[in-house]
Amino acid sequence: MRASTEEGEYNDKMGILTNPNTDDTNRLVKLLQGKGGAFGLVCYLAGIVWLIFLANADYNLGTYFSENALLPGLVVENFDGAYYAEEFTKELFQLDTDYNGKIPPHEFEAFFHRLGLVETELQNYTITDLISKRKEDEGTGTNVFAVLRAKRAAGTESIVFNAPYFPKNKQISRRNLAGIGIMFALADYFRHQVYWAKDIVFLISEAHLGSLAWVKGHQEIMEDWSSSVFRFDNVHTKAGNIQASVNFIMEATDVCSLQSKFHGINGQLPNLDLVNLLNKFIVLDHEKRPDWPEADVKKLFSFMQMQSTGTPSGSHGFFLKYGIESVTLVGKTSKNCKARNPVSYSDIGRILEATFRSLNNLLERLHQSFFFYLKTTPNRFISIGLYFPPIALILFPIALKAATIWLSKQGLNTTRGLFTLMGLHAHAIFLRWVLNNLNWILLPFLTTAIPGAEIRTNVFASICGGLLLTILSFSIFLHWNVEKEIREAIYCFCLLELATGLYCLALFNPSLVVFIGVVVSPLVTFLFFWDMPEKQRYWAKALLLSIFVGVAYDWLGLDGLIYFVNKYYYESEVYGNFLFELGWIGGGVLILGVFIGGLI
Amino acid sequence: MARIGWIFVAGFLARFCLFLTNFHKIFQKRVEISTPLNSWLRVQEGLFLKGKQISPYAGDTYHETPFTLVLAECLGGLPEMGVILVFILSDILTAIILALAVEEARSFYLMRSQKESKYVAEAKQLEIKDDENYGQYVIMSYLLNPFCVMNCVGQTTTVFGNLTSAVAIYSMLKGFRWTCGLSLALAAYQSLYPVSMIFPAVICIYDKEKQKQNDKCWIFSVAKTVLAFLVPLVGFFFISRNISNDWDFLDRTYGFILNVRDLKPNIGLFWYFFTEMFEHFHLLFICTFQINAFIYVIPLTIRFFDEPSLLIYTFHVLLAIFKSYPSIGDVGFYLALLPMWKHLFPFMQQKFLVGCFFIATAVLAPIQWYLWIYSGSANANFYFGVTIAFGTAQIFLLTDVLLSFLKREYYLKHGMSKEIDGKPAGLHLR
Repeated sequence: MRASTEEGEYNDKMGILTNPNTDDTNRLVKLLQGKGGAFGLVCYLAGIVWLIFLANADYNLGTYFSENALLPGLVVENFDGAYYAEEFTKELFQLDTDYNGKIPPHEFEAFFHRLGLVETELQNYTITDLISKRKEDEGTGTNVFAVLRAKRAAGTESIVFNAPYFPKNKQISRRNLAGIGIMFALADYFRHQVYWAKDIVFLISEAHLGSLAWVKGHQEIMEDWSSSVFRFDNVHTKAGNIQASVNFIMEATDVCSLQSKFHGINGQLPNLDLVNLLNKFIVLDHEKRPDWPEADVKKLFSFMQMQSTGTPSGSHGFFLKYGIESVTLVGKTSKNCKARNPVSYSDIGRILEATFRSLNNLLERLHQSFFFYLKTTPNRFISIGLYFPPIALILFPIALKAATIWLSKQGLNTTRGLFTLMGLHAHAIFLRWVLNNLNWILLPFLTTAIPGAEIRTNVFASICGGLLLTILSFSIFLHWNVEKEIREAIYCFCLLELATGLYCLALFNPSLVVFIGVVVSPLVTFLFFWDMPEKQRYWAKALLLSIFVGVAYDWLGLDGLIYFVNKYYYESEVYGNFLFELGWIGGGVLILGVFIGGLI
Repeated sequence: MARIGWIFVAGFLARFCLFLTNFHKIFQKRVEISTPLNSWLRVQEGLFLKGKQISPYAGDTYHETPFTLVLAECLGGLPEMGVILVFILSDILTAIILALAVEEARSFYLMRSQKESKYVAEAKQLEIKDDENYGQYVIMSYLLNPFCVMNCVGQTTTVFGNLTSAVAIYSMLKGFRWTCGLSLALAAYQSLYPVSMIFPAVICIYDKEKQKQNDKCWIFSVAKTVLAFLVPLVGFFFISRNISNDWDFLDRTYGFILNVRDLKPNIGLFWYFFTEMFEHFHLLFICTFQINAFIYVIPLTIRFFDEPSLLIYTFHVLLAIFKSYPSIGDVGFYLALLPMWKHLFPFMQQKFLVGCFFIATAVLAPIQWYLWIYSGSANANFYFGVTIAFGTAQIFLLTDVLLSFLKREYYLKHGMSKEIDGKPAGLHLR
């Protein structure tokens, strides 16, 4: 846009005039051109090293309680219902066999009534969903819940105690009957205490999705788009404003260790105070290991791996989505757990009691502590202020490259470049649309054509078709010749867009951005500057492109694509792959732009 | 010509398609697009109240002038598609008028550079070229600018505000005194802040008259222009009084604008400051902030007395930054005028930085909003961080335009060499 091409002299002069007054700027440009790549590389490596160092206890922070009102550990826990817990569990197992694997909701309701909790309600929900990744989540379900009204206050606030029930699980021990049994014992115990200032909701949600139905039913959240796939009754027995929720799952009758889970949808995390609270009780009472490995990169990595998928690690994800702080306490089992002295029910009960009594003390919503953090061990964390600089460094080469191109290249055809970029995006959206609809068109056909075949195979087949189409249309770009000025502009804009997108994504899901950044940052900045003969260059780019497309789709796996198959939001709400998809696909589209700019 | 046609088609289709989708409703509720002063939903509420024989200003929802209500009443008679078309067509009309205005400004500079004898010979290459079509760029950047598209699809009354402003700019550059006065009065009556545009209007019209007859008395010309502005304005007030039966509307509109009574977040700088501030300092800071919106008018008018089109541009940018309820419609308006300074682009140093800021803040704002309002993990500080970065970027853009304007003038007069006594020298905006 700067100058027309006929006037070479004008061009040169304008080059000087771009920075007419400051020779400093010219020096900067020269420096960027000469040393920019090396500097970017240094930043990239420094970022990675820094991030690894953060896993070390010397470089991260120790957890502490920001919310004074929680007063953790101040009360003496008195829960003495371990015997009842075991009795209830046995009874539930008996019921389970009586009813052939699915205890009807009214039995749970009867339990609550027996405990003296008369305010109960059933809530039904239905998923009319073609392809659900988790088989146990399909179909219909019924949530049962009871409300224990606060004795000490007006009951304007409440806490949810959720023990999900998994009737469709093949293993009887994994149906969380022990968890429900312990909850009943606690409900019995809680009912006789006088200190409750908040309503307590005892919820038995059927499968993880039951929690979502319950939250939506309780808050009466109605969205047009979800009503067709996900239907649920509204809840009429209302508790107060929900301050927090604790989910509880026992993976077996006898558990050997306890674990807190807190990863929400799209990398959302609960307030760190709540996580600390549960961890404190678990660690205080049960993890009596003398030495925590203080520098544990592996733990950090597994945390980031979990967060980067954007999938919730339990029912708490659905509470978090609606702004209710939530964690899950999971009882973990191992092979010879019974021999290894399992955690007693009274200890588990006391942890939960302590948690609820702390939450009962809350004076306002949990807001004091961090919402953005990475965790290594239960008593260490990396706050946003600590992890953002290394992430910024990892992504910095992208922005630096864009700046270098902009400042040093004369006569970028910005207008054409912008339009081409828009076209590229339109192309990607169109392909998505095709892919999406292709699945819908192909799906019934495939189901009839290959009777009895698993639905996932069919989806996979149609996805392969879509993928082929994608690669074909991408390869058109390979043959496409564009002027140098436009290419450089496209390259620059793509880098900018990529950098912006990733920096913004880092707010939601830093882990995902780290993984994307580590792959993409060197790919788009360092790899594209070989001087190659035309023919080799063509093959190089074809190779790279196909590798990239393959890897990206492979990485996405079925999750990301099923999200599109299942029409936009619903799956994203449930499995939270939206950002995951956005991160990789957006990155992919932009990398394609970079290919065009840097290679063709 | 065919290219412009395609731009029109693309602009129309972009708006029309988005109108038909769900985005229409989403945009209507976005704080960046709809402020209390331009939200169409609020206009509907005012209309409803009026229909029930209640004052539209009752209920503290409707804060626009009675004229808007009359307009909405007229539009209410149309079918839904008609209303949509009115919005889109007035956006297209704005683009055309802006393009004409920018062409006018360009021909003004072209004429001057041909006449000017002070310019050195080597400055020839810096001159604006005859064959460049600035208008096309303006149309493109108004019709395809995402800010303008969202503003139109969000159905804000800023669409009409921009139309009046565009007419005012065009007519003042053309030297049409009464059209200018009328449209300027309408714009000022609508949203108060365009009142500062009277300065460039006076200068422009006087310049035009001087071209025709050299011995024109400036006092007479200025007085006539001011009168052309004030008479319709006062007329509008009285008509409004008749429409709404009392003078209440003055407080409910201009009082609302000046006192910043609604602290709903927007892209401006007021809301956060006034939510955080102690109540008894309210008046002091209201005065400080509102003076800030107008105070630059006088010094800039003095400094750039000969450059009314630069003044027009500068004031529009300042207005979009410092007004109490800015929306991205205002930002889109002055961004569309940016091609007017195409000949300054080579001199601008912050283009890249400002561009990055604009992109980043545009993406970050909805994200921070989501994190603050929906998921509850972030807070108001995060969102304000974005709005203040946006404000900073806009100020960077403005200073960049001003500085590069001065630079170009310097080079035109002194040539390209940048040496004083044999040493390399630098230019600074002072």
